[in-house]
Amino acid sequence: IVSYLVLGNYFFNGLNFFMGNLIMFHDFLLIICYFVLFFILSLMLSMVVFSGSYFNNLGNVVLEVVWTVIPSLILLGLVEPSLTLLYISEAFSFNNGQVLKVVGHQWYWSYNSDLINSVVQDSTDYDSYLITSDLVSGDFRLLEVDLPLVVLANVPLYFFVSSSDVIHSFALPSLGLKVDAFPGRLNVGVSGGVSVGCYWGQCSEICGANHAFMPIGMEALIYF
Amino acid sequence: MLASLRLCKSVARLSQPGLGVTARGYGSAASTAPVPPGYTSKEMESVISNGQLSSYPQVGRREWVGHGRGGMPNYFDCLMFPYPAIRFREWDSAYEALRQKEKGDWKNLSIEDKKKLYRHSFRYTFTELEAPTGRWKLSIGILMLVFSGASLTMLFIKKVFTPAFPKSFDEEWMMRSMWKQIMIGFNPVQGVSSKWDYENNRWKSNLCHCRIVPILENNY
Repeated sequence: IVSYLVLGNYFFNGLNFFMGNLIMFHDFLLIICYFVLFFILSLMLSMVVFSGSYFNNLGNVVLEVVWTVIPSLILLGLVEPSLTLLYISEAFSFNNGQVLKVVGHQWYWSYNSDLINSVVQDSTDYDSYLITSDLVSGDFRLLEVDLPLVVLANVPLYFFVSSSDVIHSFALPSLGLKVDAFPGRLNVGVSGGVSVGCYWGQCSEICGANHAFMPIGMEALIYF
Repeated sequence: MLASLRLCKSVARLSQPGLGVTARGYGSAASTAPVPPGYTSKEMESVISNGQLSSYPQVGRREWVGHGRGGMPNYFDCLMFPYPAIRFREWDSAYEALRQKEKGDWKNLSIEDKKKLYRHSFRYTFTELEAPTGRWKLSIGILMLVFSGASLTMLFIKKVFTPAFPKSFDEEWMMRSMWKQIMIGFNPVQGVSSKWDYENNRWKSNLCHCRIVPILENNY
């Protein structure tokens, strides 16, 4: 995907309540990481650049207490956003949104979408393959699919993900989702409502030769 | 018979000079050479450790003058441990004469005497220790050689053995795909769509921090 932005995140923008908060938490965490890294690097550099003996003071109880307490305080400060995010990612009851069934195959996905079932009056599974030929100029070469997962916008999404052969992983980075697809098992991924638009992801668990060529395309629509 | 049995028991037991016996064996140079006063007939194993016992023969006739860096009688020139455990040079009668002279008035010592006393105990002065060697140039030079070799290899491989880009890397295709992203509102928070003015159908005017050249993310 072409982008001309130089200063920005290395994530897809968070288009979900959960992912937006995850990105903010990541930024906060990264600041702490930079501080720690810079401090340690400056200490090491001072040892290299400035000659001197460092065997004068081989024990200091106060220093040891300080460098135990301060990191623990930092970690305590990280507890709150981390636990909050953990709990809100699961804070859904399963009776107010749409149920989307996803099955991973080698090397395509098959979906069963609430919206399409309500229109077609029947439960239909359909397969979603990557488009390799007949690409129009301007298409996203590794992301265009023939039949995307169609979803209603502004309504919670419940993804029930499984696999028919090997392990795959259903990933939608804009939504902060990555649900593993195991054969013989049903995993659940939850997202709050998303706005109208197109969302892409790619299979995130190595599953064979065309693991890189089974993208996930999702389109969120509204009734009118 | 009894003397040999006692030797077998305590390996590094020192013997009197002139007897011709040390831990290194009969008739070695260390056993017949003169020894500093006070270094005869000591049972060492009750006073020092086995490690120190085993290294004592290699010390030769150098005096053991302190604890040094690790307690063992080794000579290190080190800024952090400035007083090594043993003297640098071996004891001899000329040095003994100097030591006796040192016990008197120091004004009687000439500059050369003082220098000799220092150089007997130490290998380098602190100035010589801290003097720059210029060895860092060798390190940097070898690093540059390796780096340039590796870079040339990689450039060659990339130039000769990489296939052509797919169609979607054409300038026009990339422009169209960026237009498509704007139309569907991709990355509206901080990405492409946040820089497009949808009301007036043009780029936003406050984009001084962004480049206009399209760059690829993730090789889509």
